[in-house]
Amino acid sequence: MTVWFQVGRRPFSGPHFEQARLPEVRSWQWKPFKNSARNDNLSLLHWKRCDDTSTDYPFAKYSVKREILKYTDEQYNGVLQQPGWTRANTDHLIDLANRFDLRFIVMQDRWDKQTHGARTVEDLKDRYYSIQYRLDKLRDSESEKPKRPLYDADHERLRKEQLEKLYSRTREEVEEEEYLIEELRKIEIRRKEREKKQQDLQRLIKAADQLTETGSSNKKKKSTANKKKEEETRSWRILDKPLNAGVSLRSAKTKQALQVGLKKSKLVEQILTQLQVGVSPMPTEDITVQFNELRNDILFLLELKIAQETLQFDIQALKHRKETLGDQAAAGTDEAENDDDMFADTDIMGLNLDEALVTAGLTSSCSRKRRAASEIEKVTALLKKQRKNSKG
Amino acid sequence: MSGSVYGGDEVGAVCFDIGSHTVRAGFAGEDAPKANIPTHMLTGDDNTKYHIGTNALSYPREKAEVVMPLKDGMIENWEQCEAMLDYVYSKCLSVDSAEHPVMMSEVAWNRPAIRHKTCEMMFEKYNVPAFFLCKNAVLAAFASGRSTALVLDTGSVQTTAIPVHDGYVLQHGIVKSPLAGNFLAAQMREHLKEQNVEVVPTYKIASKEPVKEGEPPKWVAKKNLPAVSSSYHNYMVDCVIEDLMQHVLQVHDRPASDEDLNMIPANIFEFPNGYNAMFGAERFKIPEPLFDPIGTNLRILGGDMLAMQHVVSSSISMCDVDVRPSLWSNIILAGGTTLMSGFSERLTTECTAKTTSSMKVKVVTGGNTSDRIFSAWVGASILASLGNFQELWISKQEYEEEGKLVVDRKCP
Repeated sequence: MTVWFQVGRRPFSGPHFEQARLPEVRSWQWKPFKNSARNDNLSLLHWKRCDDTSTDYPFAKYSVKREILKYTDEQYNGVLQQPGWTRANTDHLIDLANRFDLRFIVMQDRWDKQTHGARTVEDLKDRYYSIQYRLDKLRDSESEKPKRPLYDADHERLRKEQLEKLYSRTREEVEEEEYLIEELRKIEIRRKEREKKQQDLQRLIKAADQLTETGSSNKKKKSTANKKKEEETRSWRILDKPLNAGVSLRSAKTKQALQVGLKKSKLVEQILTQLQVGVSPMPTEDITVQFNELRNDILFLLELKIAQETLQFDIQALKHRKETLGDQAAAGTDEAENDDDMFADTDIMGLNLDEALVTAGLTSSCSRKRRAASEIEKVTALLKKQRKNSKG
Repeated sequence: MSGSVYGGDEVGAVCFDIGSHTVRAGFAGEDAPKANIPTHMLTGDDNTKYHIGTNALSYPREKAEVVMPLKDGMIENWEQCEAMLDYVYSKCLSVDSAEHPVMMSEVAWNRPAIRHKTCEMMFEKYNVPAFFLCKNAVLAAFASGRSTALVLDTGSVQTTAIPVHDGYVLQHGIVKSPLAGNFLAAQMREHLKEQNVEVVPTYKIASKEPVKEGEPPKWVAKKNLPAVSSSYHNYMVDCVIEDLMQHVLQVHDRPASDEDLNMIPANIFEFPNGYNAMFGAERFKIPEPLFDPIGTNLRILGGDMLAMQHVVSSSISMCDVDVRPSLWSNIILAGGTTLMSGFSERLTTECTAKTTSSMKVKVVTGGNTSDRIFSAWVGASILASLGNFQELWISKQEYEEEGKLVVDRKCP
């Protein structure tokens, strides 16, 4: 049906089609028109609706002409003279501006080089805007209107020069730049990692120091302040945190999970079995506290061991680098070897914890490490004793 | 006047796009030209001076020479040009030239004298009510809806890169190269010669029989053929070669080795005399110099044989640094040779390799092939049927008042 609306006639007759009252199609005419945007009397023909009574050409209103600067002889001779620009040059510039509606890139392209000398886009813009500025100043001298800022040709030239350099880089240069930026990023990451490692190590050393200090005195008499301090340093595992609200068995305290990964807690359990302490001792109050202390200490030792291993690896890597660099083996490496030898025989209760202790030696003093070892011995002995007592 | 909705207003203008290969003519506002006829024509006797049109050209006449009104894209022979326009007006469009404004395309490097004369011819001889002359690169850019673009026109005679900024050609950025359709045809002719293939043009053949691939053709020559001129024979042979090129030539997406090319299935082509052969690696090798003129042995051309990507990049580098990004991202292809499959892809690859990664390179290809063949004509059709354009025509009155130099002022 809609098709026939457009065609404008009724193709079928009969009652069914008679019912639909088709509207009359608006008629169009091939008519002459004049365009008011033109200066002449050109009359072309186009299709116009018969009921359209508008007289002006509908597109004439879109014809917008930009106003281009005009100046008189008097103005030119008064304020517009500029070294490097003759009157003829300036007139040519204004003519081009009129023809190309201030498209400076096109104006520069059509600039008559032979008669007026070669000019860049910036030269043309500079001249044009300076004329505009001077004329404005002349006109606005009476009223105190703010002046438009001058066109900064030098800045534009510099900008284009830089842009030119940017675009004229070869692919290799760009790649090299990207590679260097990537390398810089990598170095930054490595630096951060190293700093973090160092901080961890510092924390471990601090913890080890405290362990030895508190180990010598009686643990139960620890002041609350001291305890708090210790908790701060050992923040990476907490066992003393309160259990869930409500009634609970004391043995639940010994079952409390370590706040470390599954792998590490398994390792701790393994060591506990090796120490013949077992994973679930008789939960007297003493034993519970001691048991958790022991677990903490084992964990601490494991941390030390890991730190020591990484350090050892670092030393190896550095040693290797030193060798490849062709340097003489210096005293530093020898010292490290000596350290290794010194504690090779450290063995606690059949456990291979010597490496962990070496770390303490590397990070702090040797004596401190020994003290740490003896501390472990003490604790385990105490635990064993208590277990015996409880059995008895 | 529903035109105000989409900005169009049809005034019945006639658009001409006269190229060195074909002439396109039709009414503004339509999407394809009414006539697309060869620019070449046959000289005749005193009664009919020129025989124009595809049909007239395929009929062999005694001593008739093939001539064309253009040289280097510019009108050189005015008599032939007028004969062509007469033919289009009377045979193709069937309209009175005095009733329709005319929009005509010109090459970007057209000489002022020729522009003046064109304007004079249209007003004096054809009595047109209004006239406009527009650069074909600008029109090609308009056809794809852009006012800023780099138009790479690879036609039959030459390849040109023309930067267009805001609808104006930047004259200083025009770069030309002779690597174009005719060069490929010459390469193809060399190849056929090496293969001992004799190209028999259609006009000589009376009948033929099917033969197997690569076997000598069986055909019967026409009897009583008039003694045609050598230019006619060459033109007809060129037509066959052109047909062959359109069928088989293809651009590989990157510089390829012989092994790569041998892997690609060959194309079969049957010549007018029935001889048929496979075209394998040479399908890619012949157009390869368009992108790599140094790597291939060339024997024909002298001068600056710039590859397509060099034509593009040197043209862009001659423009203001501020317009370069928009030119790189608006490379428009025009001209028949760019229709070869793989051309735009290869150009994109090569141009991307020539720029830094921060520069966005885009080769714009029209929606379908006819858009690209007729791009300048379609642009003219769009421009002449715009309501805003109607104030730009050179009217007969303006011509009478200012003389033929008016074209310099009105048509940039």
